[in-house]
Order: sequence, then structure tokens, then C-alpha cells
Amino acid sequence: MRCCPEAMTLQTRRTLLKAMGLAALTACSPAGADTSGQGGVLALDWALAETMIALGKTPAGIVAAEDWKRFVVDPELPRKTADLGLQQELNFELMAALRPDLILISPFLEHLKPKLDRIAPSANLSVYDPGEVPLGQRVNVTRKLAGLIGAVSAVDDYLLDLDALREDIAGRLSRLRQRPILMVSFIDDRHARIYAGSSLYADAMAWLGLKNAWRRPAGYFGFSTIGIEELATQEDVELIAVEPVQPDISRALAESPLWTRLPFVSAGHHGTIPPVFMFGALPSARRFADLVIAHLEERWG
Amino acid sequence: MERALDPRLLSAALFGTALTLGTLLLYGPAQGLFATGTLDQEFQNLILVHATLPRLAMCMLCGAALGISGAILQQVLRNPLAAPDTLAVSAGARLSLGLVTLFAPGLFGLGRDVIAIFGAVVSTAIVLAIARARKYSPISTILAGLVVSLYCGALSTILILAKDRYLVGLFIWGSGSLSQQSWQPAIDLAMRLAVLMVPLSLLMRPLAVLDAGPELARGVGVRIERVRFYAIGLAVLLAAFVTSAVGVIGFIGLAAPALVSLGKLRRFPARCIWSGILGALALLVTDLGVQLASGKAGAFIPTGAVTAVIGSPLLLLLLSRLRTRTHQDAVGEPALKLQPSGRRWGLPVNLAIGAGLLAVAILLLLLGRAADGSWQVLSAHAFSDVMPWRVPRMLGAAGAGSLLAVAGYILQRVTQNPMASPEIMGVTAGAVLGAAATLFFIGTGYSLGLAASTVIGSFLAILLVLAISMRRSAAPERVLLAGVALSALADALVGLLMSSGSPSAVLLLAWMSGSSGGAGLGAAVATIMAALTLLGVSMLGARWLAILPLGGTTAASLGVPVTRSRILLLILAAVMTAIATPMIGPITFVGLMAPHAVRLIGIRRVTTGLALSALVGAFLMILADTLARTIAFPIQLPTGILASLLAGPILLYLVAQEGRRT
Repeated sequence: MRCCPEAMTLQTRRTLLKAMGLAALTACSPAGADTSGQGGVLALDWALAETMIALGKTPAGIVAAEDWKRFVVDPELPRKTADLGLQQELNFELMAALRPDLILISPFLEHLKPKLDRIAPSANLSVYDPGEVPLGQRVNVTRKLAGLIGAVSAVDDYLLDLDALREDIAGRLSRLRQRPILMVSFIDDRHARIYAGSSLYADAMAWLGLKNAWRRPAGYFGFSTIGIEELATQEDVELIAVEPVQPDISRALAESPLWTRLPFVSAGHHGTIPPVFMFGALPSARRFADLVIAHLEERWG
Repeated sequence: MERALDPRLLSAALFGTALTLGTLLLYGPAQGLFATGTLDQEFQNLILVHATLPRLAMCMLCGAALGISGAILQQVLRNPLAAPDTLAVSAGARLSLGLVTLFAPGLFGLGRDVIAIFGAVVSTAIVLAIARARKYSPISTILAGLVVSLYCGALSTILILAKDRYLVGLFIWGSGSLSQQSWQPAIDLAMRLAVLMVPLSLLMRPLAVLDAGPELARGVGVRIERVRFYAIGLAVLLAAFVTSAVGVIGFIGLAAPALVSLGKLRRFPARCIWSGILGALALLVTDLGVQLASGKAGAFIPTGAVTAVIGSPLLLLLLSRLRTRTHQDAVGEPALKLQPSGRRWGLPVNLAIGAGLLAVAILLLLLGRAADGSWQVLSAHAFSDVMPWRVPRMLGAAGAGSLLAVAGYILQRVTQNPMASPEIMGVTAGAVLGAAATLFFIGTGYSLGLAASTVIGSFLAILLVLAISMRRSAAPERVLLAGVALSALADALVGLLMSSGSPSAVLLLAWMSGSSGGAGLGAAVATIMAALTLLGVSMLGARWLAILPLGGTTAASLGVPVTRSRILLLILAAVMTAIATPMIGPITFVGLMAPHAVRLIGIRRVTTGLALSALVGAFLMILADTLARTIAFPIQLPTGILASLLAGPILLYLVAQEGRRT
């Protein structure tokens, strides 16, 4: 940081004069008017970004790129994709400098639309509206997105591929003795999130034909926060926790007499799968399906 | 007005309520307990024995510990508003647990208790160090506690924003859920509390002697300083153990002893014990209610946030009792030292300072980072892309900063309290509540609605503040305490909403952290214009501002309409705060720090003080804005939070300097 003021002094006088003149001028003219920039698509929602990548397109920029590896994992983030900062605190300067043609947003960024319009047109796509069939809304979003980014030819192949995956998994599942599934992620040693409704996990489970053991309502995003004691059920269920599970959580559970005496726990019907992005679209559903079937074949086989 | 409210009666009533609610909750499950049985019954028993019953035990332990902790603090500090919450004990514990969760989870090996106690001790020590400069006067102590709490909150917020996906747990913990799955945590806590009962029983007598006043206590051989030290340490330990076991349980530690003190119990040991009993029962009743309600609604409700939501209005009610309790204390509020050395700056000096700051501001405006992260002075060809974003955010931040600084200057003079600031007036809390209401009840897609509800929220808060300040008995400091209650309410409600885990909660958090990024030029220019206009308006009140700090009687004899001038100046400060908040968020400490800096320089003239406050405030925000957009590039940090991180330590330094002088 210290080096900069020095570097600055060399240019100061010239840039200063320009700054004062130009700042006044440019502030009034729409920034997006100049189309000589790099172009490309900014995906401000990870679900839309992963869908783009799965369709073979590289987003010019996404939010919180640093965390992608931990939460989305697969598909891998292309190296050329720029990091636009936090979703709640977007780097508008950088976004403007990238001169995109299109900005993809979720309904949760809709309030930023007037600001984004100064950079490029934006399209609002939601994976959370309830679909007619399992994964239906996520398929719709994928098709719409493909139309917007010019990947229509890729989308049919992708969806066919996905159908093939489901048939393969359905075949593998039919050879197993199935139990209803409790899909959770542990928050701390006393609380968990449980997934149902339109959440990615529950949607993908329904798509695979797996039964969800959680029947209580779960809110717009399809999850609710519960005390771990509320997981207590005497049904013969299979509990799957999405990683990461902090070490002190497993220790606390192992010491809880309530937990250890639950029928499904004492029967050993619980385990974990690697992280899957919980607000994801079809690529995450795919990753989830692969991980869950591998997990279940190991447990139920 | 002063009605005796026997804590024994109150306890009996609470006990009855607890019994009723408990029966409702437990009747079904308990029936099966002795039935030999089916698998179903055995299973129900399992939940009853290992989840429901330990939870009830936990409630009573935590409530009792907090009640006793509050009773000790109120006794030692001679302050009816002292409590683990108001002295930032819980906030410090919460922040240190959050820091450890994120950066050094390995330290949990030491035990959560150690970490919580460390944070609690540090934050309490800071509060008491500030309060010491003001001779532990009740209001200054509480204000110092609030400032430190807000500061811890700001730090927690930036952690959550930057790493939000990990910290859902911190939210739940922060809002105090009592959910249990085994007896172990309750047993652990009980043993810790049992050990603490030994020093408590030893301290009972010396603490009781304090009732007779410091001189008498010294006369019978009580070493007051030492008793104070141990007693505060004990109270901090009690609260920290609870915080590390279940999280932050708001207001029990304030309410229980405060309710007991309304009664006619003369002796401290009785008050202390009844505070414990009342605390235990109050938390038990609240939690039984929460369990019954959340069972029906299927929603997750952390009990600690509920007690805080109930407790903040209680704090407002207690304000009316404050005077009756404090007059017996010999400790008066030392008057604000307003004219330390008295320095007079002529116009040339002012102009030079202004020009210098402007030059630096322009340099900062040009400083930025390229897409690859390298530092650069803006290249000419990038102007059309970058400046339309950078100019408005800097102008907006500067305007908002000067608004808050002037508001703070006015407030500190009107209330004669150096810890007064717009943040603690409750106006920003009103704005937060307005924004929260819009985000959760209407939806996220309406930026216009958000802006409108923010303004409405601020003005409702202003009305409340005015209603309180209109009451004849109301001292200006009471206005600040009403703000404290409002802020606590906003904090609790936000915590409650956050633990729902919905993404609109994250939006609210972003809004609260004060993001000037993306501001439009129109809004920025409007903020600057408002700042200049209202600075001019405040200059009109310069005479009032000069005379009011001399005290009501003197001011009246000099022909100042005391009540009317106070109200008008309060309105002015509130309006300035309401305009600034949407731009940079509710917490910046600029309004607190800028007037301190001006006073420390030794500015005597009010007009110079106002102008210089505005300059310092604007400049501090420009600096914060530049840092916010560059230090973590490409990540943009919230300007408001960065300003508070910048201003907080400076503020502590200034306050310490002032303390040394007095």
C-alpha cells in the first residue's frame, strides 16, 4: 500500500486535471454505451454460473470465486473467470470495466437491477419457483439460460445425458432395499438444517425416486433449521449429512444418549457425502445424484 | 409512581405460569413415562428424558446465573441498568467465539469456556476503562457498554459477510437457542456455577455493606476497590459460562435484578437470591412459551432473541425509574469538559485545512486497483467505466460522514455526554427495523420500498425519541438510553430473522453493514447538498450549542429557551442521521469520533467546531471508502463497517486521553 502514493506523484498533475474534467463528463453518460469491450456474461448467482459452465460457456465473472472450490467443487471454475467480490457487496467498478453484454441474476439481486442496467442488460432466473415435476424448474431455467447465452445446441445433449444418468441410477437403486432418507447438514453440535420441498437436495431426491423422510413444511428455500432432537424418529430411515461436519459435532453426537439410542442411529444407518452446493441447479443435482448413489450402494448394497 | 412489587409475588406468578405451560408441554409425553411399553412410548420417553427435561434444567441454570450476575453488577456499579448485556460481556464472548470458529478452530480444544471468558473479560475491561474516566456514572457506563457492544457486533458482521456460509451456526448461537440433546451440558454448567457459589458467598457481606455507601463501607474495613474487582470478575464469569453453553440470552440479566429492585427488599443477599430465582423462572416461562409456539408453527425460534425482544421495551419502562434509584448515589455526572484549552482558528487556517483535505480526497479518488489486482492510479481510458461508480460512492460517503459528525457534535453538546452519538440515539436502529420489515414482509425486489421504509423507520424512531424528550422529567441522557433500548430491540429482531437462514437475511445484513458501493450520482449529490444545507442550519443554533452545555439553569438565565432548543436540536440531529443511514449503514462511529477529535484539538468556537466536525467526518468516510474498495480487492468491503473499524480504536484512544486529563 505504501508504494502507491509515490507511484502516483509522477502522474498526479496530469491525471488530476483529467480526473476533474472527465469525472464530471463521464458521470452523466451511460457507461454501457461503449461496446468495444471484452463482452461476455457475468453470472452473479452460482446456480446460473455452474449451469453456464456445464453448457460449455465460460462466465466472464462470478461472485465469491474464492469460495467456489469449497462449496460447488464440480464443475471446476474456468481460470479466465473473474472474481466480482461478495454477492452482497458487488465490485461495480470491476464489473463495469469488464464491459459485459449480459448479467445473470437471481430474484435476490433484483433490487440491484437499476444499478446493473448502467452496465449491461440483466436477466433474472430463479431455480426456486416450484416446478411441475422434479427438477422441472431447474430444467426450465437451464433452457432459458441456454437461449440467452447462445448454447441451445448444447442444452439438448446435456438434458439427454441427464436422463440417461437417471435411468442408470434408477436401475442401480432398484437392486437395493430402500429406506426413506433424512437429508441434513449440521450447523453446530446442537442444530441442523433439514432439506425438503424445493431445495436442491430434496428436488434431486424426488427426481431419483428416493423417498424423503422429512414431511414437515420447509419454507421457500426448502430447508428449515431444527434442534437435533427433532430428527428423532422411530422410522427406519437413512440419515445423510452433507459435509463439512465439524469434528466437535460428531463428538457431541456420539456422546448424546438421545442420538445414540435413536433406532436409525443404533442400526448404523447414517453417513456423510462430500459437499454439494445447496442452492445449485442441474450440475449440482447431477453431482448430488452421483455422490448419493455411490454412498447408498455402499450402505445398502 | 413508586409501587412496591414484591419479587416473591412476582416469582409465584411466574411459577404458576411455568407450571401451566409445563403441564401443557409435558402432560402427553410424561404419561408414557411409567407405562410399560410399546416401542412408541419408549421412544417418547427418550425424547422427554434426554431433550425436553435437560432443556428445562438448562433454562433455570442460565436464568439464575444471569440474574445473579446482573444483581452483582447493579450492586457494585450502583447502576440499575448494569447487566451482562449492557456492559458488553456477552458481545465480547460472542465475538471471540466467532473469531475462533473462523480463524483458529483448533483453539476449541481449550474449551469453549476459555474462549468465551477471554472475550468477555476483554470487552468488559474496555467498557470499565472508559467508564472509569467518568467515575462509573451510570449513564456513561451504559453508553460505553453499548459502544463496545456495537463495535463487537460490527466486527462479527464483517466476519459473517465475508464468510457467511460458515457462520449460520454463529447466528443461532448468537441469538441463544436452548435446544438440548443430553444432560451433559446442563451438568457441566451446573458444576461450574456451583464452584462460583463459593466466592459469591464470601462476597455477599462486603457487597451488602456497599448499600450503606462507600464511606461507611470503608469505615467497617471493606476494601472497596478489591471487592469491586472480584465481584465484577465473578459476574463476568457467570455470564461467560452461560454464553459459552447456550449463546447470548438477552436481557434476563438486566430484567431480573431490576424487577427485584422495585420491591422492598433491603438487604443485598436477599436481592441477589431473588434475582437468581426470578431470572430462572423468567427464562423458563419464555422458553416453555417458545417450545409450545414453535411446535405449532414449525419454525425455529431462538429463545435468547425472544427474551431480548421482550426485554427491550422493559428497558424503556425502567428508564422512568432510573432517577429514583440514582439520586441516592453520591456519584454525580461530571460535566463534560468542553473548553479544555480554547484554541481559535482564523479563516485562513480553516481554508488551508479544507484545501489540504480536498487534495488528499482527490488523490484517494484516483487510487484504485486493476482487474489483475495491481495498484494503479486510474488510467485515462478506464475513466468512462470506473468513475461513474467511484465518484458517487465517495461523494455519498463523504456527505453521510459529515452529516453524522455534525449530528454527533450537536448531540454531545445537548446531552453533555461525550459518549453520545447518532448511532446510540436509536434513529439508525429505527432505519434497520424499517428495512428488516420490508425485506421480510414485502420482499426483496423493491428497492424503492426499502428506501421508503428506512426513512419511515427512522422517523418513527425520531418520534419516539421526541416523545421521551418532551416529558418534563426527561434529562437529555434519557433520550440516549431510549436509543439504547431501540438498538437492542433492532439487534434482537435481526438476530431472530437471521437464524431463519433465509437469503433475505443476508441482504439485510449487507444493508446493515453500510455499502456505499453502487450508489447513484443523484443520491450522492443529494446527500452532499443535505450535508451542506443542514450544516448551515446547525450554524443557526450555534448560540444554543454554546450555552446549553453550561447547564439548564445557567442557560435559562442567559435567555435560552432550554426545552425548546433541546428539542429542535434533537430533531436536527435525528434528521441528519436519517439521511446518512441509508448511504453508509447504521454503525460507523464517525458521529462519535469526529466531535472528540475536534474537542481534543481544542476548538472552542461552536461554528468552527461544527465545520471541522463535518470535515473530519467527511474525510474519515472518504478514507474508509477508499480502503473498503481496495484493501481486499476484488472483494469490496462495506464502507460503514470499515469506518467503524477505523474509528473505533481512534475513539478509544481519544477517550483514554480525555480520561487522563480529568
